[in-house]
Amino acid sequence: MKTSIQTTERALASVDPASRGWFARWQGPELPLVSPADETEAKEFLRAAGADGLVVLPMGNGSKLDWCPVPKRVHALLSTARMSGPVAYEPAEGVLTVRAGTTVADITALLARDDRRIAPDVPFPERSTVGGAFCAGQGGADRLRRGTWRDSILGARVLGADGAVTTSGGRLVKNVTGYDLFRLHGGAHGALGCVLELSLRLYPDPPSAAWWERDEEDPAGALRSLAQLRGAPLAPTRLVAFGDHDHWSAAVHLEGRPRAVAAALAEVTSRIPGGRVLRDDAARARAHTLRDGGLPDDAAATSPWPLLEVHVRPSDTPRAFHLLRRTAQGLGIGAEFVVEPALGCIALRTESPPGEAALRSLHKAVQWERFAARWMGLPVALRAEFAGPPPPGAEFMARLIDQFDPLGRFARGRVHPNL
Amino acid sequence: MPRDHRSGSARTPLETSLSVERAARLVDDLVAFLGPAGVVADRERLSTYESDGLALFRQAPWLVVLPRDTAQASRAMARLWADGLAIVPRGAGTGLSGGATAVRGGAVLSTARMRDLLELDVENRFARVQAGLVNAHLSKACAGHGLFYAPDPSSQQACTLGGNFANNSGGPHCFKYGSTVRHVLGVVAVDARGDVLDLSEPRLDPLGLDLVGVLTGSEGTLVLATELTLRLLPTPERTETLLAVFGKLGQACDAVSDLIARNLEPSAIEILDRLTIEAVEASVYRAGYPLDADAVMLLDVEGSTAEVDEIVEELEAVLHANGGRELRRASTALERKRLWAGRKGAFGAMGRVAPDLYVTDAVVPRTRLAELVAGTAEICRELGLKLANVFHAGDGNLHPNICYDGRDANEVARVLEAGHRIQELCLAAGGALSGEHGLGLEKRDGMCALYNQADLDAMGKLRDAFDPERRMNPDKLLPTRPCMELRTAPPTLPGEDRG
Ligand SMILES: Cc1cc2nc3c(=O)[nH]c(=O)nc-3n(C[C@H](O)[C@H](O)[C@H](O)COP(=O)(O)OP(=O)(O)OC[C@H]3O[C@@H](n4cnc5c(N)ncnc54)[C@H](O)[C@@H]3O)c2cc1C
Repeated sequence: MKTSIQTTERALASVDPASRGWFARWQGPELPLVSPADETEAKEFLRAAGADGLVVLPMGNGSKLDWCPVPKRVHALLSTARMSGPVAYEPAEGVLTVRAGTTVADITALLARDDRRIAPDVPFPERSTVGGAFCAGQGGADRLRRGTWRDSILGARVLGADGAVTTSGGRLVKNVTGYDLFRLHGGAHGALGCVLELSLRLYPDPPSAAWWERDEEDPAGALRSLAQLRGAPLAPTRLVAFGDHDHWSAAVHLEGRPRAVAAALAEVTSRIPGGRVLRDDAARARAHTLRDGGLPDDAAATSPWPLLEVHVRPSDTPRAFHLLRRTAQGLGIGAEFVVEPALGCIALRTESPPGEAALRSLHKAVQWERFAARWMGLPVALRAEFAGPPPPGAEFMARLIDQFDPLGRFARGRVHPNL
Repeated sequence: MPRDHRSGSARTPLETSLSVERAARLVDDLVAFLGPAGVVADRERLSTYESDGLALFRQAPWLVVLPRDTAQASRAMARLWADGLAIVPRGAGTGLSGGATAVRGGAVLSTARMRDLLELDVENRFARVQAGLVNAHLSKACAGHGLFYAPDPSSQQACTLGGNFANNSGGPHCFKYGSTVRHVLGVVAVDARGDVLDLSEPRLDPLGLDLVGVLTGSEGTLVLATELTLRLLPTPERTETLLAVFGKLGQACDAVSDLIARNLEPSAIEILDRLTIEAVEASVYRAGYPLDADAVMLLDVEGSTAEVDEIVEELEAVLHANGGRELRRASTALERKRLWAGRKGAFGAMGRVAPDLYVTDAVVPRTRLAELVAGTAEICRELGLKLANVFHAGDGNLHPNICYDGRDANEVARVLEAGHRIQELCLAAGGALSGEHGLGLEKRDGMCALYNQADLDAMGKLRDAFDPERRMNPDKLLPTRPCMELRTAPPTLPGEDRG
C-alpha cells in the first residue's frame, strides 16, 4: 500500500466524526479526511500525498466548502480542525497567535476574560475555524467598525505545496518587514497552501453595547431611516435594514464606553423617532442573531440554502437592493434581505431552496448589472456556472498559483473555475 | 532632440551599458512619446536622483523617465524591458531605507508628473489619485467635504501616495487608523514588462486573491503603482490634543504600555525625548514643549464629544499614575496645530544638532518599550554617538535618530555599527526590522536574522510571479545572497555587495 494512503488511514482513524457533519452541503465526492494533530503530521501527510500524486484540499471544519465549485481534481481533505489552541497570547500587547483550527468561539471565550476580542465577527463562530474564515474571506457583522481580515491579520505560518512551513509577517501590530505573503491566503480557499497559524490584532471588547431597532412599513422606509443617520457622530458597529416580504426593520448596533454609547443612542433616537432599545447583553444577543442570518443552525447546515452577497458602491445600495428584490419577487423566490447601506453590501438568503431555473434568472440579473457578487451554498451543479467572469487580475492570480504550487498539489478551481 | 539630454562627450553609463547607438535609440523612443520633459539623461540632472532620504548610499541612475499616466508608464516600461534595463520606481525620494536608490543603475521611473486627483467621491468616501500626488494634498482636497485621509507620515508635505503605498507607510494617527494597507481600496499598477493590472474599483473585500493587500508594502519590487483608490474617513466630531510632560523617558514609555494594556484608544501616541525637544524648541517648529522635561508625550483623542471626554478622563489618570507631571490640553485649533508642528518638524529640527541624521526604524513589543529605548541609548553611549528619540510609541515603532557628521568616516562606521546593534537588540526582544520605512537597501540583509531561508524563498516566489527577471527595483527588500553565505561573509555596506 502506498505510504500516503497509510498516512491517510492512520489520520482518518483519529478524526472526530462530528467534524464531518457539515459535508452534506458540499455535495462533493466522498473523500478521506485527514486531520493531523500537529505541524509535523501535516507536513508528513502532504509529503506522502505528493509522492503519490494526490491532490489535497485544505479546510478547517468544512463549513464553507459549499461556497465554491467542487475542484475537478481532488483526492483528500486536509483539515486543520485538530490543530487548535493559542500559541502565544499577550493581552497587554494586543496580539494573539493561534493555530488555524481554533474556532472563533473558542478564541472569543479565551479573550473575553481580558476584555479583548478579534474581528471580523463572523457568523456561526462555534463551527468556524479562524483559518477557514480567513481563507474564505468571510465578512463579519462588525465590518463597519472593525473592517475585514486585512485589518486584523498580522502574520501567518503556512504549509506550502513544496512541503515547507513558512512564516510571513509577525506578531506585532505594526510591521513592514518583507512581503506580506500572508495576505494572499485571505480569500484563496487554500489554493496557495494550508494556513497553520495566524497572528491577529486584538480589539478592546467594548464594555457597553446598545441595539436600536425600529419596525418599518417597507424596505424603502428602513433605508430612509438609516439615511437620516448620515453624518451623525456615531461610529456604529452596524447599520442595517433587514426583512422579508412583510416585516422590515432598521437597526443600529452601537458599542463603546458607556457614556459614548448613551450619547450615540441619544443621537439616533433624536434623529429617528420610535424604535426599541436593547442594552448590553440583550443588545449583543440580538446582534448575534442577525449576524447568523436569523436561521436555525441546523436548517442552514443540511441542504443547499443559497445566500447571495452583492457589493456595490454605498450610494448605489438602494437601487441595487430594489432591483434584486423585484427580480426575486418576479421569479417567485422568497428571500430575506440584510442590507448595509453604509458598506454597499446586500445579502439575500432564499427562504426555501429555490429551483435552479429561478436561481439562474436571478444570477443573470446580477451579471447583467455587473454587480460584484458572491454566491454561497448553491447546489453543486450551479457553482461553477455562477462563478461569473474571472476576477480582475486573474492572470496575475494564475501566475501566483503556478508559482507557489507548480505541480498542482493543492486543489484548484475554488477561487474561480479558471484558476 | 534626444542628444540635448546628454551633456559632454564622455559616454554616460547608459551608453556604456547599451552601446552608444542603442542608448540613443532608447532615449529617442522614450522622448517620442513622453516628450523632452519626460526623460532625463544628462549626468548633472541625474545626480539629483542618486539617493533618497538615506544619503549614506548613493548611486545615480542611467536614465530617469517621467510618464504622465498609466498608458505612458506602461509603454515606457515595455520599452525599458526590451533593452533589459532595471527599473526603480520613485516618488518624492523621502524614503529612509534607500528604496528609491538605483543601486544597479538602470532607469528611475519617477511619478513626479503624475500628480492628479482623478476622482473625489464624497458620498462613497474614496478618492482615486495618481501615484505621484503628495499625501498632504489629498487631505487638503477633501477637508472641505468633512473627510480626511488617515495615514499621515511626518513627511506628508512632500512624500507621494505612491511612495506611501509602496512602503505601507505609517504616521502618528496610524495608531488608531492603521497603516496605509488599511486604506487602499484599489490600485492600477504596471509590471516590469509593461502589463497593466487594473484593480481600481474600490473594494472592501478582494475578489479572489488579495493582490492589493500583497502589493501594498512591496517597495516597488513587484510593480509600479500608477493610480490608487484610497479610503477617506469622516472628520471626527471632536479632537483633543494633549501634551504630557515626564521627568524620565522610561516613565513615558511605561505609560504607553499601561495605556495599551488598559484598552485605552487615543488616535495617536507619540514620544519626543530631551534632545529632540531641545532641537525643536530651538527651531522654526518651536511648539512650546518644556525644556526641563526628559520626555513629552503627544496624544490625540478623536471621536464624538462624549467618547473623547470619557477617554481623556481615563487617560489623565493613567498618565499621572505613571509619573506624568503635567498634562496640557490644547485649548485652540492653533495651539493644537503648533504642538503637532513640533512633532512633524522634529526630523528637520535635528539639522541643528549635527549635519547628518541617521533615522533608524524598528518595531518592538509594546510591553517592552522602556527597556528597549534604554537599550538603544546605551548602545549609542558606548559608541560615543548622539541619540535623539522621536517615535510612534503607541505602535511600538521606535525611531532612534543618530546625529552624525557624514564627513567623518570613523563616525559613519560607528553609526552603522549602532544601527546594526539596535536592530539586533530589537529582534532579540521579539521585534521586527521595520515598522514603516521599509527594508530597501538598508535592511535587506537583515531579513536573514528574522526569517529562515525557506521563508525568504517563499517571498522570492511572489517576486518571481510578478517579475521573474527581477528587473523591478533590484537588490531591494530580499537578500541578494543565501542567508548561509551572508552569515559567514565579512560585513559589507548594503549596496557595496552586488550579489
Ligand atoms: C522627515 C521625514 C519624516 C518621515 N516620516 C515618516 C513617517 O512618519 N512615517 C512613515 O511611514 N515614513 C516616514 N518617512 C519616510 C518616507 O517619507 C515614506 O517612506 C514615504 O512613503 C516615501 O514616499 P516617497 O514618495 O518619498 O517615496 P520614495 O522615497 O520615492 O520611494 C520609496 C519606495 O517606494 C517605491 N515607490 C515609490 N513610488 C512608487 C510607486 N508609484 N509604485 C511603486 N513603488 C514606488 C520606491 O521604489 C521606494 O522603494 C519620513 C521621511 C522623512 C524624510
